[in-house]
Amino acid sequence: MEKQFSIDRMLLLARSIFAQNKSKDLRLALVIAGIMAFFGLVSSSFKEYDVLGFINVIVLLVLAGTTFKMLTSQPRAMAYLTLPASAAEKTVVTIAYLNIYYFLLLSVSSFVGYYFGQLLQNLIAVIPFVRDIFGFDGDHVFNLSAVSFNGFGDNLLALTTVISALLFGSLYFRKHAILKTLLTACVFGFAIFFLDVIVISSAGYAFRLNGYDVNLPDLPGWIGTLVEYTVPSVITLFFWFMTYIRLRETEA
Amino acid sequence: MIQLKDVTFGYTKIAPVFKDLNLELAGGHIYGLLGKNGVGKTTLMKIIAGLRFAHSGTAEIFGEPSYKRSPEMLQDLYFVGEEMYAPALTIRQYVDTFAPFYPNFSREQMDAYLEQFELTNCTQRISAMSHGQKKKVIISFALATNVKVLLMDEPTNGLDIPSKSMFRKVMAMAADETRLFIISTHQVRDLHSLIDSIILLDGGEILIAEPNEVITDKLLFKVVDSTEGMENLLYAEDTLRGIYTVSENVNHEECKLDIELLFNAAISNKKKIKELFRNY
Repeated sequence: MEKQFSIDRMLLLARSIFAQNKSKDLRLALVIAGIMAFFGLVSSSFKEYDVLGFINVIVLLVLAGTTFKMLTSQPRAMAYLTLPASAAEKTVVTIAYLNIYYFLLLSVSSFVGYYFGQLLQNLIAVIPFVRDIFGFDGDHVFNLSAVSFNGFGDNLLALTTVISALLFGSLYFRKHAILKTLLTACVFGFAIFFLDVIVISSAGYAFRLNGYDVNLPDLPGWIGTLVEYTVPSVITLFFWFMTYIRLRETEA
Repeated sequence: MIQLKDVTFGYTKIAPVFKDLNLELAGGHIYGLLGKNGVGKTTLMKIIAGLRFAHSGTAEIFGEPSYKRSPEMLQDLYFVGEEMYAPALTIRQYVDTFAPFYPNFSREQMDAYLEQFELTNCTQRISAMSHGQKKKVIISFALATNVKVLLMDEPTNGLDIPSKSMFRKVMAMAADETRLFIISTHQVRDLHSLIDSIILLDGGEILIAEPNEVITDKLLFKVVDSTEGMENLLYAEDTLRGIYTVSENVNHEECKLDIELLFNAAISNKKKIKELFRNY
Protein backbone atom coordinates (compact mmCIF):
# COMPACT_ATOMS: atom_id res chain seq x y z
CA MET A 1 0.00 0.00 0.00
CA GLU A 2 1.45 3.30 -1.08
CA LYS A 3 1.59 6.04 1.49
CA GLN A 4 0.99 9.41 -0.09
CA PHE A 5 1.44 11.23 3.19
CA SER A 6 4.02 10.54 5.82
CA ILE A 7 4.68 13.11 8.53
CA ASP A 8 8.25 11.86 8.90
CA ARG A 9 8.98 12.33 5.22
CA MET A 10 7.38 15.76 5.21
CA LEU A 11 9.52 16.80 8.17
CA LEU A 12 12.58 15.49 6.35
CA LEU A 13 11.56 17.44 3.26
CA ALA A 14 11.09 20.62 5.28
CA ARG A 15 14.45 20.04 6.92
CA SER A 16 16.14 19.52 3.57
CA ILE A 17 14.62 22.74 2.16
CA PHE A 18 15.71 24.60 5.28
CA ALA A 19 19.23 23.17 5.16
CA GLN A 20 19.67 24.17 1.52
CA ASN A 21 18.24 27.69 1.93
CA LYS A 22 19.20 28.72 5.44
CA SER A 23 22.11 30.98 4.42
CA LYS A 24 19.99 32.68 1.77
CA ASP A 25 17.09 33.05 4.21
CA LEU A 26 19.33 34.54 6.85
CA ARG A 27 20.63 37.11 4.37
CA LEU A 28 17.07 37.90 3.33
CA ALA A 29 15.99 38.34 6.95
CA LEU A 30 18.93 40.66 7.61
CA VAL A 31 18.18 42.77 4.54
CA ILE A 32 14.51 43.07 5.52
CA ALA A 33 15.47 43.90 9.09
CA GLY A 34 17.92 46.52 7.81
CA ILE A 35 15.35 48.17 5.54
CA MET A 36 12.77 48.16 8.32
CA ALA A 37 15.33 49.51 10.80
CA PHE A 38 15.91 52.43 8.46
CA PHE A 39 12.19 53.12 8.20
CA GLY A 40 11.90 52.71 11.95
CA LEU A 41 14.64 55.24 12.45
CA VAL A 42 13.13 57.92 10.23
CA SER A 43 9.42 57.41 10.94
CA SER A 44 7.67 59.02 13.85
CA SER A 45 5.74 56.15 15.35
CA PHE A 46 4.66 52.55 14.99
CA LYS A 47 1.63 53.78 13.05
CA GLU A 48 3.56 53.46 9.81
CA TYR A 49 4.50 49.88 10.53
CA ASP A 50 1.50 48.34 8.79
CA VAL A 51 2.08 50.61 5.79
CA LEU A 52 5.59 49.24 5.53
CA GLY A 53 4.19 45.72 5.50
CA PHE A 54 3.96 46.04 1.72
CA ILE A 55 7.70 45.36 1.52
CA ASN A 56 7.05 42.00 3.15
CA VAL A 57 4.19 41.32 0.79
CA ILE A 58 6.30 42.12 -2.26
CA VAL A 59 9.15 39.91 -1.02
CA LEU A 60 6.72 37.11 -0.22
CA LEU A 61 5.19 37.34 -3.69
CA VAL A 62 8.62 37.26 -5.30
CA LEU A 63 9.50 34.20 -3.21
CA ALA A 64 6.24 32.55 -4.24
CA GLY A 65 6.85 33.36 -7.88
CA THR A 66 10.29 31.78 -7.79
CA THR A 67 9.51 28.75 -5.62
CA PHE A 68 10.07 26.15 -8.33
CA LYS A 69 12.78 28.09 -10.13
CA MET A 70 15.18 25.33 -9.13
CA LEU A 71 13.45 23.06 -11.65
CA THR A 72 14.96 25.12 -14.48
CA SER A 73 18.30 23.58 -13.53
CA GLN A 74 18.35 20.04 -14.89
CA PRO A 75 20.55 18.50 -12.16
CA ARG A 76 18.57 20.20 -9.40
CA ALA A 77 15.27 19.21 -10.95
CA MET A 78 16.43 15.60 -11.16
CA ALA A 79 17.60 15.65 -7.55
CA TYR A 80 14.31 17.16 -6.37
CA LEU A 81 12.01 14.93 -8.39
CA THR A 82 13.82 11.73 -7.40
CA LEU A 83 13.92 12.63 -3.72
CA PRO A 84 11.92 9.87 -2.02
CA ALA A 85 8.69 11.69 -1.22
CA SER A 86 5.37 11.82 -3.00
CA ALA A 87 4.27 14.78 -5.11
CA ALA A 88 1.54 15.42 -2.54
CA GLU A 89 4.09 15.62 0.28
CA LYS A 90 6.32 17.91 -1.75
CA THR A 91 3.37 20.18 -2.53
CA VAL A 92 2.17 20.38 1.07
CA VAL A 93 5.65 21.08 2.41
CA THR A 94 6.25 23.77 -0.22
CA ILE A 95 2.93 25.46 0.57
CA ALA A 96 3.60 25.32 4.30
CA TYR A 97 7.11 26.58 3.83
CA LEU A 98 5.96 29.55 1.79
CA ASN A 99 2.86 30.46 3.78
CA ILE A 100 4.10 29.77 7.28
CA TYR A 101 7.89 29.76 7.41
CA TYR A 102 8.56 32.66 5.05
CA PHE A 103 5.57 34.61 6.36
CA LEU A 104 6.89 34.32 9.91
CA LEU A 105 10.49 34.91 8.88
CA LEU A 106 9.60 38.14 7.09
CA SER A 107 7.17 39.30 9.78
CA VAL A 108 9.60 38.70 12.62
CA SER A 109 12.62 40.16 10.85
CA SER A 110 10.71 43.26 9.75
CA PHE A 111 9.22 43.78 13.19
CA VAL A 112 12.57 43.33 14.89
CA GLY A 113 14.19 45.66 12.36
CA TYR A 114 11.53 48.30 12.77
CA TYR A 115 11.64 47.99 16.56
CA PHE A 116 15.41 48.35 16.45
CA GLY A 117 15.06 51.47 14.26
CA GLN A 118 12.60 53.01 16.68
CA LEU A 119 14.84 52.14 19.61
CA LEU A 120 17.75 53.79 17.85
CA GLN A 121 15.63 56.85 17.15
CA ASN A 122 14.74 57.11 20.82
CA LEU A 123 18.36 56.77 21.82
CA ILE A 124 19.40 59.44 19.33
CA ALA A 125 16.61 61.73 20.42
CA VAL A 126 18.02 61.73 23.95
CA ILE A 127 21.13 63.55 22.71
CA PRO A 128 20.16 67.24 22.31
CA PHE A 129 22.75 67.97 19.61
CA VAL A 130 21.65 65.05 17.41
CA ARG A 131 18.00 65.76 18.17
CA ASP A 132 18.40 69.28 16.82
CA ILE A 133 20.10 68.12 13.65
CA PHE A 134 17.46 65.54 12.79
CA GLY A 135 14.57 67.56 14.16
CA PHE A 136 13.31 64.81 16.47
CA ASP A 137 10.80 66.08 19.00
CA GLY A 138 12.35 64.16 21.88
CA ASP A 139 8.93 63.20 23.21
CA HIS A 140 8.65 60.14 21.09
CA VAL A 141 7.98 56.94 23.01
CA PHE A 142 7.29 53.34 21.96
CA ASN A 143 3.67 52.78 21.20
CA LEU A 144 3.19 49.19 20.20
CA SER A 145 -0.57 49.49 20.56
CA ALA A 146 -0.51 51.68 17.47
CA VAL A 147 0.26 48.62 15.36
CA SER A 148 -3.00 47.91 13.60
CA PHE A 149 -4.25 44.43 12.75
CA ASN A 150 -7.51 45.62 11.23
CA GLY A 151 -8.52 43.56 8.25
CA PHE A 152 -5.61 41.20 8.88
CA GLY A 153 -7.71 38.08 8.14
CA ASP A 154 -9.07 39.40 4.86
CA ASN A 155 -5.67 40.58 3.73
CA LEU A 156 -4.11 37.27 4.69
CA LEU A 157 -6.66 35.37 2.65
CA ALA A 158 -6.11 37.62 -0.36
CA LEU A 159 -2.36 37.27 0.06
CA THR A 160 -2.61 33.48 0.32
CA THR A 161 -4.64 33.41 -2.89
CA VAL A 162 -2.12 35.52 -4.79
CA ILE A 163 0.74 33.41 -3.37
CA SER A 164 -1.00 30.21 -4.49
CA ALA A 165 -1.37 31.60 -8.02
CA LEU A 166 2.29 32.62 -8.14
CA LEU A 167 3.33 29.27 -6.72
CA PHE A 168 1.51 27.47 -9.51
CA GLY A 169 2.89 29.97 -12.02
CA SER A 170 6.44 29.26 -10.87
CA LEU A 171 5.89 25.58 -11.62
CA TYR A 172 3.96 26.07 -14.84
CA PHE A 173 6.17 28.67 -16.48
CA ARG A 174 9.48 28.16 -14.62
CA LYS A 175 11.39 30.80 -16.64
CA HIS A 176 10.26 34.43 -16.06
CA ALA A 177 7.46 32.90 -14.02
CA ILE A 178 6.46 36.04 -12.10
CA LEU A 179 6.08 38.14 -15.23
CA LYS A 180 4.21 35.45 -17.12
CA THR A 181 1.93 34.70 -14.16
CA LEU A 182 1.10 38.37 -13.66
CA LEU A 183 0.40 38.82 -17.37
CA THR A 184 -1.83 35.75 -17.40
CA ALA A 185 -3.59 36.98 -14.26
CA CYS A 186 -4.14 40.39 -15.89
CA VAL A 187 -5.59 38.85 -19.04
CA PHE A 188 -7.76 36.52 -16.96
CA GLY A 189 -8.77 39.38 -14.63
CA PHE A 190 -9.86 41.58 -17.53
CA ALA A 191 -11.77 38.70 -19.09
CA ILE A 192 -13.62 38.11 -15.81
CA PHE A 193 -14.21 41.81 -15.37
CA PHE A 194 -15.81 42.21 -18.80
CA LEU A 195 -17.78 39.03 -18.29
CA ASP A 196 -19.05 40.53 -15.01
CA VAL A 197 -20.01 43.72 -16.75
CA ILE A 198 -21.91 41.83 -19.41
CA VAL A 199 -23.65 39.44 -17.00
CA ILE A 200 -24.58 42.08 -14.42
CA SER A 201 -25.74 44.60 -17.01
CA SER A 202 -27.78 42.06 -18.89
CA ALA A 203 -29.42 40.92 -15.62
CA GLY A 204 -30.63 44.45 -15.06
CA TYR A 205 -28.47 45.14 -11.99
CA ALA A 206 -26.76 48.46 -11.40
CA PHE A 207 -23.07 48.16 -12.08
CA ARG A 208 -20.72 50.60 -10.42
CA LEU A 209 -16.98 50.91 -10.26
CA ASN A 210 -15.98 52.39 -6.95
CA GLY A 211 -12.32 52.88 -6.18
CA TYR A 212 -10.65 49.50 -6.32
CA ASP A 213 -13.76 47.40 -6.05
CA VAL A 214 -16.64 46.43 -8.17
CA ASN A 215 -19.62 46.97 -5.91
CA LEU A 216 -22.73 44.92 -6.32
CA PRO A 217 -25.06 46.82 -3.98
CA ASP A 218 -28.29 45.34 -5.26
CA LEU A 219 -27.30 41.73 -4.75
CA PRO A 220 -28.12 39.85 -1.53
CA GLY A 221 -25.59 40.09 1.31
CA TRP A 222 -24.60 36.43 1.22
CA ILE A 223 -23.24 36.88 -2.29
CA GLY A 224 -20.93 39.57 -0.94
CA THR A 225 -19.69 37.21 1.76
CA LEU A 226 -19.31 34.46 -0.82
CA VAL A 227 -17.26 36.71 -3.04
CA GLU A 228 -15.21 37.93 -0.12
CA TYR A 229 -14.29 34.62 1.54
CA THR A 230 -15.40 31.59 -0.40
CA VAL A 231 -14.17 32.56 -3.82
CA PRO A 232 -10.57 33.35 -2.70
CA SER A 233 -10.53 30.14 -0.65
CA VAL A 234 -11.71 28.09 -3.60
CA ILE A 235 -9.22 29.78 -5.91
CA THR A 236 -6.43 29.08 -3.41
CA LEU A 237 -7.39 25.41 -3.12
CA PHE A 238 -7.64 25.19 -6.90
CA PHE A 239 -4.12 26.52 -7.38
CA TRP A 240 -2.74 24.24 -4.67
CA PHE A 241 -4.36 21.26 -6.33
CA MET A 242 -3.10 22.34 -9.74
CA THR A 243 0.40 22.70 -8.27
CA TYR A 244 0.19 19.11 -7.05
CA ILE A 245 -1.03 17.87 -10.44
CA ARG A 246 1.62 19.81 -12.31
CA LEU A 247 4.39 18.65 -9.96
CA ARG A 248 3.29 15.05 -10.44
CA GLU A 249 3.53 15.50 -14.19
CA THR A 250 6.79 17.43 -14.19
CA GLU A 251 9.61 15.83 -16.16
CA ALA A 252 13.31 16.59 -16.00
CA MET B 1 13.47 -5.54 -11.60
CA ILE B 2 13.14 -3.19 -14.58
CA GLN B 3 10.77 -3.85 -17.43
CA LEU B 4 10.13 -1.69 -20.46
CA LYS B 5 7.27 -2.79 -22.72
CA ASP B 6 6.76 -1.22 -26.15
CA VAL B 7 8.06 2.12 -24.95
CA THR B 8 7.81 4.94 -27.46
CA PHE B 9 9.27 8.29 -26.57
CA GLY B 10 10.40 11.40 -28.40
CA TYR B 11 11.11 15.03 -27.67
CA THR B 12 9.24 15.90 -30.86
CA LYS B 13 6.42 13.99 -32.51
CA ILE B 14 8.25 13.79 -35.82
CA ALA B 15 11.38 12.04 -34.59
CA PRO B 16 10.87 9.59 -31.74
CA VAL B 17 13.98 8.64 -29.79
CA PHE B 18 12.57 5.18 -29.11
CA LYS B 19 9.83 3.26 -30.83
CA ASP B 20 8.31 0.15 -29.27
CA LEU B 21 11.34 -0.46 -27.11
CA ASN B 22 11.39 -3.59 -24.97
CA LEU B 23 13.87 -4.34 -22.24
CA GLU B 24 14.03 -6.50 -19.16
CA LEU B 25 16.80 -6.11 -16.60
CA ALA B 26 17.46 -8.26 -13.57
CA GLY B 27 19.29 -7.62 -10.31
CA GLY B 28 22.85 -8.72 -9.63
CA HIS B 29 24.28 -7.14 -12.78
CA ILE B 30 26.32 -4.11 -13.72
CA TYR B 31 24.97 -3.09 -17.09
CA GLY B 32 26.98 -0.93 -19.43
CA LEU B 33 24.67 1.25 -21.50
CA LEU B 34 26.40 2.04 -24.77
CA GLY B 35 25.48 4.07 -27.79
CA LYS B 36 26.48 6.96 -29.98
CA ASN B 37 25.95 10.57 -28.91
CA GLY B 38 22.29 11.54 -28.93
CA VAL B 39 21.06 7.97 -29.27
CA GLY B 40 19.02 8.29 -26.06
CA LYS B 41 21.10 6.71 -23.31
CA THR B 42 20.31 9.43 -20.77
CA THR B 43 16.69 9.52 -21.92
CA LEU B 44 16.38 5.78 -21.41
CA MET B 45 17.73 6.09 -17.88
CA LYS B 46 15.37 8.98 -17.21
CA ILE B 47 12.41 6.91 -18.38
CA ILE B 48 13.50 4.13 -16.03
CA ALA B 49 13.81 6.65 -13.17
CA GLY B 50 10.40 8.19 -13.91
CA LEU B 51 11.91 11.52 -14.89
CA ARG B 52 10.57 11.20 -18.44
CA PHE B 53 7.23 9.68 -19.34
CA ALA B 54 6.83 7.26 -22.20
CA HIS B 55 4.34 8.43 -24.82
CA SER B 56 3.12 4.89 -25.16
CA GLY B 57 4.03 1.58 -23.59
CA THR B 58 5.01 1.02 -19.97
CA ALA B 59 8.18 1.45 -17.96
CA GLU B 60 8.04 -0.48 -14.72
CA ILE B 61 10.44 -0.67 -11.86
CA PHE B 62 9.86 -3.15 -9.02
CA GLY B 63 6.58 -3.95 -10.77
CA GLU B 64 5.11 -0.46 -10.64
CA PRO B 65 5.03 2.26 -13.29
CA SER B 66 8.08 4.46 -12.90
CA TYR B 67 6.22 7.67 -13.84
CA LYS B 68 4.35 7.48 -10.53
CA ARG B 69 7.60 8.25 -8.67
CA SER B 70 6.22 6.75 -5.49
CA PRO B 71 8.32 7.27 -2.35
CA GLU B 72 8.70 3.49 -1.97
CA MET B 73 10.16 3.25 -5.46
CA LEU B 74 12.40 6.28 -5.05
CA GLN B 75 13.77 4.95 -1.76
CA ASP B 76 15.28 2.12 -3.78
CA LEU B 77 16.48 4.10 -6.77
CA TYR B 78 19.24 6.65 -7.22
CA PHE B 79 20.20 8.53 -10.36
CA VAL B 80 23.68 10.00 -10.62
CA GLY B 81 23.44 12.42 -13.53
CA GLU B 82 26.32 13.59 -15.68
CA GLU B 83 25.86 17.03 -14.17
CA MET B 84 25.10 16.90 -10.49
CA TYR B 85 23.31 19.15 -8.08
CA ALA B 86 25.80 20.18 -5.43
CA PRO B 87 24.19 22.27 -2.68
CA ALA B 88 26.10 24.67 -0.46
CA LEU B 89 26.40 22.06 2.25
CA THR B 90 29.37 20.24 3.70
CA ILE B 91 29.58 16.50 3.15
CA ARG B 92 28.46 15.91 6.72
CA GLN B 93 25.49 18.28 6.34
CA TYR B 94 24.61 16.69 3.00
CA VAL B 95 24.54 13.25 4.59
CA ASP B 96 22.55 14.50 7.59
CA THR B 97 20.03 16.15 5.27
CA PHE B 98 19.49 13.55 2.58
CA ALA B 99 20.51 10.20 4.09
CA PRO B 100 17.33 9.85 6.22
CA PHE B 101 15.31 9.59 2.99
CA TYR B 102 17.02 6.27 2.26
CA PRO B 103 16.21 3.61 4.86
CA ASN B 104 19.23 1.45 3.98
CA PHE B 105 21.77 4.25 4.00
CA SER B 106 25.02 3.32 5.72
CA ARG B 107 27.22 6.04 7.17
CA GLU B 108 30.05 3.53 7.63
CA GLN B 109 29.95 2.73 3.93
CA MET B 110 29.83 6.41 3.04
CA ASP B 111 32.94 7.04 5.13
CA ALA B 112 34.65 4.03 3.55
CA TYR B 113 33.87 5.22 0.01
CA LEU B 114 34.97 8.76 0.80
CA GLU B 115 38.19 7.35 2.19
CA GLN B 116 38.71 5.33 -0.97
CA PHE B 117 38.24 8.52 -2.96
CA GLU B 118 40.61 10.32 -0.58
CA LEU B 119 37.95 12.81 0.41
CA THR B 120 38.57 13.34 4.06
CA ASN B 121 37.73 17.03 4.42
CA CYS B 122 34.11 16.82 5.45
CA THR B 123 33.92 20.50 6.37
CA GLN B 124 34.33 21.79 2.81
CA ARG B 125 31.13 22.78 1.03
CA ILE B 126 30.27 20.52 -1.87
CA SER B 127 29.36 23.50 -4.07
CA ALA B 128 32.90 24.80 -3.63
CA MET B 129 34.51 21.53 -4.70
CA SER B 130 35.90 20.70 -8.14
CA HIS B 131 33.69 18.81 -10.59
CA GLY B 132 35.59 15.58 -9.95
CA GLN B 133 35.32 15.93 -6.18
CA LYS B 134 31.61 16.68 -6.40
CA LYS B 135 31.20 13.56 -8.48
CA LYS B 136 33.08 11.47 -5.93
CA VAL B 137 30.85 12.75 -3.11
CA ILE B 138 27.65 12.05 -5.03
CA ILE B 139 28.87 8.61 -6.16
CA SER B 140 29.84 7.75 -2.57
CA PHE B 141 26.45 8.90 -1.36
CA ALA B 142 24.63 7.01 -4.10
CA LEU B 143 26.45 3.78 -3.28
CA ALA B 144 25.95 4.22 0.47
CA THR B 145 22.18 4.53 0.01
CA ASN B 146 22.22 0.80 -0.79
CA VAL B 147 19.39 1.29 -3.25
CA LYS B 148 18.46 -1.67 -5.43
CA VAL B 149 18.67 0.28 -8.69
CA LEU B 150 21.51 2.69 -9.30
CA LEU B 151 21.64 4.64 -12.54
CA MET B 152 24.85 6.42 -13.46
CA ASP B 153 25.25 8.70 -16.43
CA GLU B 154 28.89 9.03 -17.51
CA PRO B 155 30.19 8.57 -13.97
CA THR B 156 33.85 8.63 -14.94
CA ASN B 157 33.63 11.94 -16.83
CA GLY B 158 35.66 14.48 -14.94
CA LEU B 159 37.48 11.91 -12.83
CA ASP B 160 41.26 11.80 -13.01
CA ILE B 161 43.10 8.55 -13.82
CA PRO B 162 43.63 7.39 -10.19
CA SER B 163 40.03 8.25 -9.40
CA LYS B 164 38.80 6.07 -12.24
CA SER B 165 40.47 3.02 -10.73
CA MET B 166 39.12 4.05 -7.32
CA PHE B 167 35.69 4.25 -8.91
CA ARG B 168 36.01 0.70 -10.19
CA LYS B 169 37.10 -0.38 -6.74
CA VAL B 170 34.19 1.22 -4.89
CA MET B 171 31.74 -0.08 -7.48
CA ALA B 172 33.09 -3.59 -6.98
CA MET B 173 32.76 -3.10 -3.22
CA ALA B 174 29.14 -2.03 -3.57
CA ALA B 175 27.93 -4.59 -6.11
CA ASP B 176 26.01 -7.60 -4.88
CA GLU B 177 23.45 -10.10 -6.11
CA THR B 178 20.45 -7.96 -5.25
CA ARG B 179 21.54 -4.68 -6.79
CA LEU B 180 21.29 -3.51 -10.35
CA PHE B 181 23.63 -0.88 -11.70
CA ILE B 182 23.26 0.77 -15.09
CA ILE B 183 26.25 2.77 -16.21
CA SER B 184 25.96 4.86 -19.32
CA THR B 185 29.36 5.60 -20.75
CA HIS B 186 31.41 6.48 -23.79
CA GLN B 187 34.61 5.62 -22.02
CA VAL B 188 34.28 1.87 -22.27
CA ARG B 189 37.93 1.21 -21.45
CA ASP B 190 37.43 2.83 -18.02
CA LEU B 191 34.74 0.36 -17.10
CA HIS B 192 35.68 -2.68 -19.13
CA SER B 193 36.53 -4.77 -16.10
CA LEU B 194 33.45 -3.67 -14.21
CA ILE B 195 30.60 -4.19 -16.64
CA ASP B 196 29.17 -7.72 -16.76
CA SER B 197 26.33 -7.05 -19.21
CA ILE B 198 25.92 -4.84 -22.22
CA ILE B 199 22.97 -2.80 -23.44
CA LEU B 200 23.67 -1.42 -26.87
CA LEU B 201 21.40 1.29 -28.23
CA ASP B 202 21.29 2.46 -31.81
CA GLY B 203 18.70 4.14 -34.01
CA GLY B 204 15.99 4.09 -31.36
CA GLU B 205 16.27 0.36 -30.72
CA ILE B 206 18.23 -2.01 -28.55
CA LEU B 207 20.67 -4.09 -30.56
CA ILE B 208 22.08 -6.09 -27.68
CA ALA B 209 21.08 -6.52 -24.06
CA GLU B 210 22.99 -9.55 -22.87
CA PRO B 211 25.53 -10.64 -20.27
CA ASN B 212 29.15 -10.62 -21.47
CA GLU B 213 29.36 -14.42 -21.58
CA VAL B 214 26.37 -14.65 -23.91
CA ILE B 215 28.01 -12.12 -26.20
CA THR B 216 31.33 -13.97 -26.28
CA ASP B 217 29.45 -17.20 -26.87
CA LYS B 218 27.98 -15.74 -30.03
CA LEU B 219 30.75 -13.46 -31.16
CA LEU B 220 34.44 -14.24 -31.44
CA PHE B 221 36.93 -11.47 -30.69
CA LYS B 222 40.31 -12.28 -32.15
CA VAL B 223 43.54 -10.61 -33.27
CA VAL B 224 44.78 -12.04 -36.57
CA ASP B 225 47.49 -11.27 -39.11
CA SER B 226 45.18 -11.59 -42.07
CA THR B 227 41.46 -11.79 -42.56
CA GLU B 228 41.78 -13.79 -45.75
CA GLY B 229 39.62 -16.85 -45.71
CA MET B 230 37.89 -15.82 -42.49
CA GLU B 231 34.30 -16.88 -42.50
CA ASN B 232 31.47 -15.05 -40.77
CA LEU B 233 33.58 -11.94 -40.31
CA LEU B 234 31.52 -9.05 -39.00
CA TYR B 235 34.13 -6.40 -38.36
CA ALA B 236 37.87 -5.89 -38.75
CA GLU B 237 40.10 -3.11 -37.52
CA ASP B 238 43.68 -2.82 -38.72
CA THR B 239 46.10 -1.75 -35.97
CA LEU B 240 49.85 -1.88 -35.35
CA ARG B 241 49.37 -4.98 -33.21
CA GLY B 242 47.46 -6.83 -35.89
CA ILE B 243 43.93 -6.99 -37.18
CA TYR B 244 41.28 -6.95 -34.50
CA THR B 245 38.31 -8.93 -35.69
CA VAL B 246 34.80 -9.74 -34.62
CA SER B 247 33.21 -12.75 -36.21
CA GLU B 248 30.42 -15.14 -35.52
CA ASN B 249 31.51 -17.63 -32.86
CA VAL B 250 30.30 -20.70 -34.70
CA ASN B 251 32.48 -23.11 -32.73
CA HIS B 252 31.85 -21.41 -29.36
CA GLU B 253 35.52 -20.69 -28.83
CA GLU B 254 36.55 -18.95 -25.64
CA CYS B 255 37.52 -15.35 -26.07
CA LYS B 256 37.68 -12.04 -24.25
CA LEU B 257 35.06 -9.39 -24.88
CA ASP B 258 36.32 -6.16 -26.36
CA ILE B 259 33.51 -3.65 -25.80
CA GLU B 260 34.86 -1.11 -28.28
CA LEU B 261 35.11 -3.71 -31.02
CA LEU B 262 31.67 -5.01 -30.17
CA PHE B 263 30.26 -1.52 -30.43
CA ASN B 264 31.86 -0.89 -33.83
CA ALA B 265 30.82 -4.31 -35.08
CA ALA B 266 27.24 -3.81 -33.96
CA ILE B 267 26.95 -0.38 -35.52
CA SER B 268 28.41 -1.48 -38.83
CA ASN B 269 26.53 -4.78 -38.97
CA LYS B 270 23.25 -3.99 -37.34
CA LYS B 271 21.21 -6.54 -39.25
CA LYS B 272 23.49 -9.47 -38.50
CA ILE B 273 23.81 -8.50 -34.83
CA LYS B 274 20.04 -8.33 -34.53
CA GLU B 275 19.80 -11.77 -36.05
CA LEU B 276 22.35 -13.17 -33.64
CA PHE B 277 20.89 -11.66 -30.52
CA ARG B 278 17.38 -11.48 -29.28
CA ASN B 279 15.59 -8.83 -31.25
CA TYR B 280 14.40 -6.10 -28.95
